[in-house]
Amino acid sequence: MLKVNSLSVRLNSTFRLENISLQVGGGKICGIIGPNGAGKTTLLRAISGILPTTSGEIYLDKKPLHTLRADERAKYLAVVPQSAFLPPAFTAEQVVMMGRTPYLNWFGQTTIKDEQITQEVMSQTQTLNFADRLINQLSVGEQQRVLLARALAQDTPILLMDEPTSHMDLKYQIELLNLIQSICREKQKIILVVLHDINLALRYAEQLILLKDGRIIMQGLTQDILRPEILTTVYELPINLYLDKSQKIFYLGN
Amino acid sequence: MNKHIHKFIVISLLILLISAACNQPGETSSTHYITLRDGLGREVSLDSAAKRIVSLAPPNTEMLFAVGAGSQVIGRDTFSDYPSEVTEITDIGGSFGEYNQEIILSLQPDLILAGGINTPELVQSLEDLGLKVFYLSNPTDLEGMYAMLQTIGMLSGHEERANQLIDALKERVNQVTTQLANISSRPTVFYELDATDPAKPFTPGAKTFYTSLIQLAGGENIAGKLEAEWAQISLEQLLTWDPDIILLGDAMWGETPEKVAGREGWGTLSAVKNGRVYAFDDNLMVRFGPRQVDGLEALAKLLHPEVFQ
Amino acid sequence: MKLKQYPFLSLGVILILAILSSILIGSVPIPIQSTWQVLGSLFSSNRLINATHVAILLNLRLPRTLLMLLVGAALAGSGCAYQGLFRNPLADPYLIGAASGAGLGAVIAITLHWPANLLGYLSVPLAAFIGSALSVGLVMQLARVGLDTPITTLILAGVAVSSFATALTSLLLINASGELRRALVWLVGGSTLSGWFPVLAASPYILIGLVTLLTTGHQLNVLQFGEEQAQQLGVPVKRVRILVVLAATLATAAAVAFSGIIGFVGLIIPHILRRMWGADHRLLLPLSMLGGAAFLLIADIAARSLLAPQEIPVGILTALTGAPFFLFLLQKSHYPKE
Repeated sequence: MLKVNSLSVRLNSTFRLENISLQVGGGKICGIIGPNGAGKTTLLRAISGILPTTSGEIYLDKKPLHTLRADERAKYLAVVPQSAFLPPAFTAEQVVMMGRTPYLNWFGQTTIKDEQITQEVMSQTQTLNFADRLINQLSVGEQQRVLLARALAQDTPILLMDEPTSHMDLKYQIELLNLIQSICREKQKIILVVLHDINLALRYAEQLILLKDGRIIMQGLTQDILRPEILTTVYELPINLYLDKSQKIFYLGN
Repeated sequence: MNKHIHKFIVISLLILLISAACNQPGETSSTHYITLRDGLGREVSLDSAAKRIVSLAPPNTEMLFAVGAGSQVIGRDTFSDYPSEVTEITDIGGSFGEYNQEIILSLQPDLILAGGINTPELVQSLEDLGLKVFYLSNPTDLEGMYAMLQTIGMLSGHEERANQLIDALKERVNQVTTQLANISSRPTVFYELDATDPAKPFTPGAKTFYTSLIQLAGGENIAGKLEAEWAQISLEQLLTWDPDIILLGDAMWGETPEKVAGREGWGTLSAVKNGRVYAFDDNLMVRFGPRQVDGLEALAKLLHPEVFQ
Repeated sequence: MKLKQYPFLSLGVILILAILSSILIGSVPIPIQSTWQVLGSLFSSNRLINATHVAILLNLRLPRTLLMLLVGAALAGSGCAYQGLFRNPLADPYLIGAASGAGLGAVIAITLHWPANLLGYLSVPLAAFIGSALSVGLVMQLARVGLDTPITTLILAGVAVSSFATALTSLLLINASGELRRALVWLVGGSTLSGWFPVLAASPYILIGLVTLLTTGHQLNVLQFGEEQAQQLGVPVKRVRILVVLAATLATAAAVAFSGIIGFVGLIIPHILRRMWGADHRLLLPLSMLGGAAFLLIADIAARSLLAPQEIPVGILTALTGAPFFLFLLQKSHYPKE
């Protein structure tokens, strides 16, 4: 169980995140949604430790994460960043192998175990067939899968993902999210995914955190949060729900 | 982290100090032909007069020839050019301050004469190669120049000839000063070292040879109160001073009295209006040695034509 | 191209050739036989050798070769490290104030007329060293933003401090007159200290710096993804940065202290090598050191031979190679080939 207590992030005398407290369990994808500027990315960055916080504690079960050094923390939290900067010089396999960094020594020496894990996660993410290609020669979708593989190689109980499906064809969005979902269930990982598409959240996230203006408006089960009236208020746009057989779709009204 | 850096710096400084200390050559005491203290304060001893001399600076070369040691000079720097025989001698470098130490070594000299233009580092590295170096500091007046001549005479085994030369030079200087004993006025002199930017010319200040020679020649260096050796002044300052005479030390680089007259703003200077702008061979002032007495005489003639015909 | 397959082999061969050339080439022609005998005499006592040749080979050429080797490796190695750290292919130890600080230190020592004995002639390299270290320290202080030292502020601070140091240096030079020559000679990279002393004095620092840098290859690789990603992957970003800067500055300062300011080596060599063999720093760092050593040796040989008996300060030659290099880069960016 990931527990965050009263997390606040201040930048230039404004609160980007104010008093965030949340609880996320493993095995079910937790989506983070909210309008632009709500602080979704900021929240992920704060939890992963790269943003200085003015207050707040982060616990994994009883273990405090907010006091850990970077190399320790990286064994608990892995991040798949949004449209990440990727240096051209490395192959997909090399990039994934870097996910093992928290377990490697200063020189980055790898063992058989590291290689095995790398192979495993690349197989899981279907990235083995371009393992030797330079990462900047891959499509966005392929790159995203490599970054996911890297995060998986990090072998952490918690996975943070920032809009992993942006810039992707729908087909690949679905593929990726299916993959994430199966990994989540299989490994019982705690996975937080920032999503900007409400319908994807509906389809893949079983729990949700709804953010606006740096504060949590609601958190809990998806069906409780994804209601037209709540969404309309938060997004300040007329959002309607369309029900067809067993399908639900949210769409923008007039 | 800071503590470690501290320790590190202290230890490294100690290492440097110790290695420097260990680098001092030992001195064996025995009777030498001559032991002198050079311009860097080092005691240099020779077992006999130096027969294979390498000169690293033009004044040293000139003086060696002047005291009759010309045939003992086996190597000289690029810029040595006087007297003309010098060009036949092996060139050992010297531009950019870099001398060709390989050639110097292969010449197997028994003495190297360094000058004010050479760095202490160079002296040290030549010594490290097992060569003997004597450093002659730049003199700032004639007495200093005589001492330099005498030293070079002693080192090269021409002490007597050197002394004779010094006496002759002193006699000529005496002549000049006696003849100038009754002058009524001292003309003010502006000695131009460089006027690449005519609005900001360079001139020698106090404590330079220029000032003392001009003084001896019965004149006064108008920039004599300035501190710097190469002082840069503004044209305005020059106009305020309005010297009686202008000497073009940069004549060898192409400056002429006509060009000076044509310079913006210079036309109003008295010296220009009275036609008292003269080209001057800077080597007669700046190359330490007997030629400086030539320079003195030339100066005196220009400053006091009424005394010298 | 076959050569491409074996970077270490090809650079190693070039380096060995450069070392041999540096020992064999000089103003005084020494036949190879002689050279061999002299070198052999190091291991056995052979009295049939020319004393002058011994002096030239063992006291001039050998130490000079070693010095240029070390300096070249130091400059290129730290250049590579800085470029990796700042993720900027134009980063260079000089960017962070190392060179201008050294220059200022040296000129201060020179214009203070320190006596030329014991500490005297040591004062210039020592002052250069201290100037370099202080300069880099100041830059890192200035560039701090809270607990962090972001790269943009680091570069800005580096440029600011460099400009200031250079301006002060020029000011001192204007008033120096008598010592002007000595200072200028030092600044253009004339190795005014020859013989064994500079090599022995500089090598511990250069070696410590370079060996340290060699260990940071993996960390620099991960850093290529940006400091955020690197930190999320567990890299102790601040510590790595301080370590790399310290080690690179140590090597650079020691190099500059004994050879003056030699530019472009730290810039050109890693750049070319990166184009040929990629940016895996575990390889690029040692390759840069090899390449830098070879390059500077070759430049030094040229500096000694082109206008013999005149010796051009090697810094001037490397500066001359800078221009065509950047023109070449410009060409490439005007007409990029896919």
